[in-house]
Amino acid sequence: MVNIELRSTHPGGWRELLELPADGILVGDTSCPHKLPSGQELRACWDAALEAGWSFRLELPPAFEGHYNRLLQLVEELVSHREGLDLVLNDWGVAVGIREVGLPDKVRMSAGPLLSFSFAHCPWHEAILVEELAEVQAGVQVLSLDSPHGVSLLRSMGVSGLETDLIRELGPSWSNLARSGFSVSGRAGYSLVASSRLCHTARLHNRAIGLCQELCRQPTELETTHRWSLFDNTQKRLDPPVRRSLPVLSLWGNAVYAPLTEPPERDHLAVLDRVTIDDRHWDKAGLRDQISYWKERLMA
Amino acid sequence: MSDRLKVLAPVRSLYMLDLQLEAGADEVYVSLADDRLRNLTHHSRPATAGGFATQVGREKDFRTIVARAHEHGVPVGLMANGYFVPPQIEQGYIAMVRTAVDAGVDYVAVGNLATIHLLREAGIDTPIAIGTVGTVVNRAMLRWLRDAGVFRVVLPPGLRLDEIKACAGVSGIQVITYATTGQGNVCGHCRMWECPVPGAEVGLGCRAGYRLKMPDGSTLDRVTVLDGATDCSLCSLAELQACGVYGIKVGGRESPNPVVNAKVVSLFARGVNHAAGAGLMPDLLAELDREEIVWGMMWKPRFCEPLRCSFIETPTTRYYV
Repeated sequence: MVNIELRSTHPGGWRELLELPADGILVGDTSCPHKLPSGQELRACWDAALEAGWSFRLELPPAFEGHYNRLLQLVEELVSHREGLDLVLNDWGVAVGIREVGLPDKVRMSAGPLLSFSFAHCPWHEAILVEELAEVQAGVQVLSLDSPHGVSLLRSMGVSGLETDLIRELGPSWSNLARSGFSVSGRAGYSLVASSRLCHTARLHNRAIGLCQELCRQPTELETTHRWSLFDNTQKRLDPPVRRSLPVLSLWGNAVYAPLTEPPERDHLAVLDRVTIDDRHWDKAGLRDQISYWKERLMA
Repeated sequence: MSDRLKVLAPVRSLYMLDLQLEAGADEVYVSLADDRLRNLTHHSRPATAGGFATQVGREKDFRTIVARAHEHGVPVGLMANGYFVPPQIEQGYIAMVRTAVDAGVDYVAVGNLATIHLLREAGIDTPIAIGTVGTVVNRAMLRWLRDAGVFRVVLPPGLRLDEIKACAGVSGIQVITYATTGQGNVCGHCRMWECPVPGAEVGLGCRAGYRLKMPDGSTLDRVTVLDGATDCSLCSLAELQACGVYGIKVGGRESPNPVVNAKVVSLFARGVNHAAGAGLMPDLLAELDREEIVWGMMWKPRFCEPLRCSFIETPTTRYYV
């Protein structure tokens, strides 16, 4: 059975979500270490989730060397709190670290969206691929780890699950990976297009890093109007048809998202372990609607 | 005293190779086309950028380039560093790498950890490096890669000097940093790739101009909000050398004018020699002001004045998470 998981990237934001009719909670952040809750708060969230009969998962951002020890210490702290920690990683180095400190049997790891991606994540991938042979166009729109060598890497890292944005073209990859024994979790509504070491939002608002969390409560919308020319370092206006073909993107902190418009096929949804709904993208009523929508699609 | 930094230079033709050798390149890197692909490639750039090739089109030319570089004692790296290798183009990828290995390349740079498995399973035992898009950002990953037989890692732009020092301290594996053009996002974490198709051209998304709709409903036009690129490390070469970094990589296989790209390589070669001789950086900058027209007319206004520095605190690096 496919579960519905709610996601909160704001420390403390999970409390309100527990009132909703879902099955699990995902906390943490894909791209920013400053949005991780404290160990104390994570323990409280985990306890509350279990009490509500929900699953609990923690997502960790890339572990740039300056953040690495803190992230690993957080994992060790949670492992000592309870058994069965479920982690989403966005950096292979954390998987290595978990093995180095002797914890691989105590955590379940999934490859996060920065490790599990595709050509279809590019907002203008159709234009890039248009001149390729038909079989190439179709064949390259797969998840980056959907291959025998991808599976070898996942197994060598001790990773047993993958995250995927619910991009319609990637459905066959979910089936392939599920057949190979991996659990696959799908993220609804938006796909992750990019993340940066630089917080674009904090810079835009001239806010000190670490004192900027509330800036991530609302997105800045980005409409692409100009392209950069490397050679003369100029901005050239996009041709109107090109401009109209590009989606309006959402900037949340140091990450850029694109809206997903076409729902995946039902057969492909059926292989998922869960669908994750991010609370940043909808208000509470919208979250309820999303939960109902996905429950209906998954039950059909 | 740390060893002198090596300078890695881009090449896409024999002409460009000769220029880079003259400019003082210690190593060169090059890509090879797959005839079955049009705009896609087996490396991390499109087949053309701004109308200029990013790769060598013919095997014969590729072999000549490798042989010529070796005549000069200069190692050649194959950029086979696509973000990942989908099964559909896997055979073409392997064939391309085999051709390059047969031509004598000294190592193969890949862009994804899974590709290491692919090459080894294909029986290719040429030394492997991990390119920028592999996004190696901590010591743990370097240790794992070293133990997996990888001899070199190119760190992505966006690491701080103290982080680079820690990474370069991992024994048994070389660390390379980017000398020049960075990007606004972490390259391996960004899918806003350049589209070179005529009539549908979209440049790198991280450098694009955007119309912003702010949370309060106001709008701002033509803002390069994602452009956090740090494009120059010249003033930090002594620090990079002291960190134990093996070399610096100059970008630009697709440069429209290889003469200009070779001039950039020569600036950095001069810089690493200056650093190796314990010269003071202000002295080098003063020399460049006096002697290098490219420095004064192009480099300084484009990179120094807008503070595009990679490893010095600037209004960009201040906002690193």
